[in-house]
Order: sequence, then structure tokens, then C-alpha cells
Amino acid sequence: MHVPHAPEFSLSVVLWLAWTTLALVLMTVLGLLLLRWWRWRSEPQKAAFRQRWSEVLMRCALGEDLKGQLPHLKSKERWAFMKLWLHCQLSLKGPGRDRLAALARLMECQSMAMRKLGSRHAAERLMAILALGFLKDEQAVPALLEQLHQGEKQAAVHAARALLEIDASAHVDQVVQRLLTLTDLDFSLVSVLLKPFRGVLARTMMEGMPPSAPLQACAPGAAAAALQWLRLARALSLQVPGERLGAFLANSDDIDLLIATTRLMQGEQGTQALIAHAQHQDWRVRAQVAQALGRIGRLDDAELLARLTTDAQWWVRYRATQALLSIPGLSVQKVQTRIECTGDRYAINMLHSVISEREAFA
Amino acid sequence: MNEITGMSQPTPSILVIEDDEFMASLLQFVLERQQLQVLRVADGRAAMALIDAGHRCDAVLLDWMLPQISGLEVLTRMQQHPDWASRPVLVLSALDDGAEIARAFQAGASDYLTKPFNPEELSARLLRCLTTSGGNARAARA
Repeated sequence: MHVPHAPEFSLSVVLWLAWTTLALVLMTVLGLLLLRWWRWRSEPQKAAFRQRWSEVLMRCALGEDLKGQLPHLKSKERWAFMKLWLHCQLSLKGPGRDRLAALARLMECQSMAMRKLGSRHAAERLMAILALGFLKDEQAVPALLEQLHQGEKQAAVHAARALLEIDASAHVDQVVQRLLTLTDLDFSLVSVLLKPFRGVLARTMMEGMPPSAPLQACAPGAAAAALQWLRLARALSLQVPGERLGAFLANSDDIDLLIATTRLMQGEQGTQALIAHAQHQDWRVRAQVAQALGRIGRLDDAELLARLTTDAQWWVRYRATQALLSIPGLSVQKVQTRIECTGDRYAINMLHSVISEREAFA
Repeated sequence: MNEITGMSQPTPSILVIEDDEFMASLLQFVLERQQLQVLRVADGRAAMALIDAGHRCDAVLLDWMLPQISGLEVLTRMQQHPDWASRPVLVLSALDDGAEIARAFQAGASDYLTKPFNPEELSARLLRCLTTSGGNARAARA
């Protein structure tokens, strides 16, 4: 029986693999070099474009007459212009933004923004949504409403901003309704994008504040709806009256709801409602109460906070110590005296840690 | 990017400390339209170096959220420096909660303006800072 010469066969396979690997490495290196070269070549052009159009946009925003002075915009530069224009819109407020919108309409940016709504790239879609809002394009409202109701979460928040830009009073109800039903919402994005419309959103939100009756007596899903409302209210920095929030605290035993309510607490009525929950059986609520007292508490609350520094849970001790050091009119020495009076060595250790932490960050 | 433009007197000069390049050029454009000279730095570290090197400016426009060294730290250092302590500082920040504004004023800020900003409002506030700090009368007229 004939047996193939195995070592020769293996050697040729190894050689083939080595050459292929070398060729792939060389191709990758060449590709990287080409990309760098392309970037090196295009960078000055991009910088010149930014320089030229930034000045145009700034002059436009400040109300200078640009008739007959607009540089030629190539079709391949339109998207770059739109990005720069959006940056300018997001940096300014006042009448300058209306002038910028008029300029973009003059340069027929609506049609491009509408086209980009269907882009495969999420970033382009989001920018197009915002652009349509800043352009105050009424004709884009149906497309923006579709993004609000059927788009993904980020698109919905961007569409909310765009719709409010076009006509805040006409669209605020739909926007609030949609935001209250979107689960896993990015609240930091909501906070950043919808901040300029906080006033109009606050009015609608307060009108639709969930009932603070005992949630067990309400419809199924009432707790989840109330939680979403509270989180959205916090993202929008709403000033909710303390007595209404106090009713939430009194009538609920849902931990997430209690924590969300505690974070919104303001003023003296808020402090009273918080104090009632300082001994809550769940340590997360106690920690939130301590943190909230650090924000809104006064000298009278120092004794309660000193007690919380001896809590069995590390986080409660930490938050209570931080809160004590934040109470107006209470010096570090006074806090030290109070905590030493407790005779709890964990509380004393925590105080030293928090003071060191504050010094490190100062 | 750290960019320094001319600083010859008597035109009032403003130190702009802003890390966002587009925002910085926007601020520079607005201020130069008010006949003010602009000295631009892009981060807290460069600003600290400028303070320690003994440069002089008539007012400062300070971004509150700077990389590496925050606006608060820069402001604190300015207040400790004999040449800079009397300079008016207008803080520009995206943060608009009361606690942060109070912190800026406690640290020695003369005024606080939120981003996005209105160019007319910025100019008016800065010129008021310049006049109230005994700055150049020409700036007040500009």
C-alpha cells in the first residue's frame, strides 16, 4: 500500500499559510497607510470648510446681512454643513436661532434632512430628526410623529425635542404621553434634550400627575406608571409640591417608588415626609432618606442623621455622614462631636473616611 | 487647542477658557464683534499655567465643566492669585441647578450664564462685569 509523503505535504501547507498570512498583514498595513494618507489629505480641506462655514453661521446668528456673500456649498458638503449648523443651533438661544433656521431653509436643507430620516446609520437619523425640528418645518410633523410613536427610544426623545421646537403647545400632550409609556427610557438624554422646554412640559406633567391614593386600590400597573412619572419628573427637574409627594410616601410600599419619590423631595414638607421613612425596613430607602436630607435638611435634622450614622448598613452610614457634613450651619467639629457622642466606632470611622474623601476632592 | 490672540492695551482683553472648540470660536467671534480682545485656552491646566505665568486680562469667561481641572478649581486658584482675584469672572455652564450656581458664586464668580447662550445677553453681562469692576470705559460704550 502506498503512503503519501506526510512531511513534504505538511511543509507545503505551512509555507502556503505563511505566505497567505504575510500577504494579509501587508494588505492590512497598506490599508492603514492609505487611510492615514486619505485623512492627512482631507483634514486641511475639512478644517477650511469648518472655518469658512462657521464664520458664515456665526455672522448669520448675530444678524449680519449675508445676501450675496454666501460661499458655494457643494452637494457633497451638505451633510457636513448640516452638522455644523446643528452644533450652532444647540450652542445658542434667542433670535439667532431663527436666523440660522432661515439660512438653512434658504439652502434647502429640509429635503436632505427628510432623506436622512431613512438612513441606515442611527446617528444620521437622529441628527436629521433634530434638524427638522430646528428648521421648524411643519411639513415634517407627520414624519416626526411617526418617529415619536414608532421609532426606537432615542429617536422618540429626539422627535419629542423636534416637535416641541416646531410647536410646543400643539405637541406637548403627545410628547408627555409617549415619554410616560416608554420603558427603559434614557432619562439623562431626556434631561439634556428637553431641558429648554421644561416649563411647558412641567405644566402638562403636573396636570397628569398620578393619584397618590394607596396604589393597591388603583388599577393594575398604577405603580409602574407612577414610577415612570416620578423618574421623568426628576429628569426634567420638576418642582413637585411636597404634600403631593408626601402622599406618595405615605401610601406606597413599593421600594422603587419610595426611592424615586424621595429623590424629588423639596422644602420643609418634604423633610417631614422623609423623616417618617428614616426607619424604613429597607436599607435602600433609609440611604435615600439620608441623602435627601443632606440636600434639603436643616439643623433640626442633624440628630436624626447622627442616629442614621450608626445604621447596620454601610451605605446608610455613608449617606448619613455625607448629609450631616452638608447641613448648613453645622461645622465639621460639631459633626465630629455629635458622632463621637454616639460611641459607635463604625460611625466614627465613616466620618474620617468621608472627611478624607471630601479633602481629596476639594 | 490652545490659541492665543493679541493682547495689546487699551482694548479690554477677555480670557476665554473653553474646551469645546466650536463653542470657543463662537465666543471669540461674539466678543470680537464687541471690540474686545480674546485670549483663548482650551483647558484648566493651560489656564492655571497662564495665571501662574502672570498674564493679565480684564475679565474671564470660564467654562464650568472643563477636562482634568474643573472650572471651580480654576476659579479658586484665580481668587488666591493677587493679580487675578479682582478680575470679574463670568461662568458659562450647561448646569443650571441652584446648588451649582451657588457654588460658583461662593467661589467668587461675578456672574453665571447657562449654555446654550444668547450672544446679546452674554455681551451685555460681560460688559457690565467690565464696567462694575472699574474696567475700561471704552468697553462699556462698545
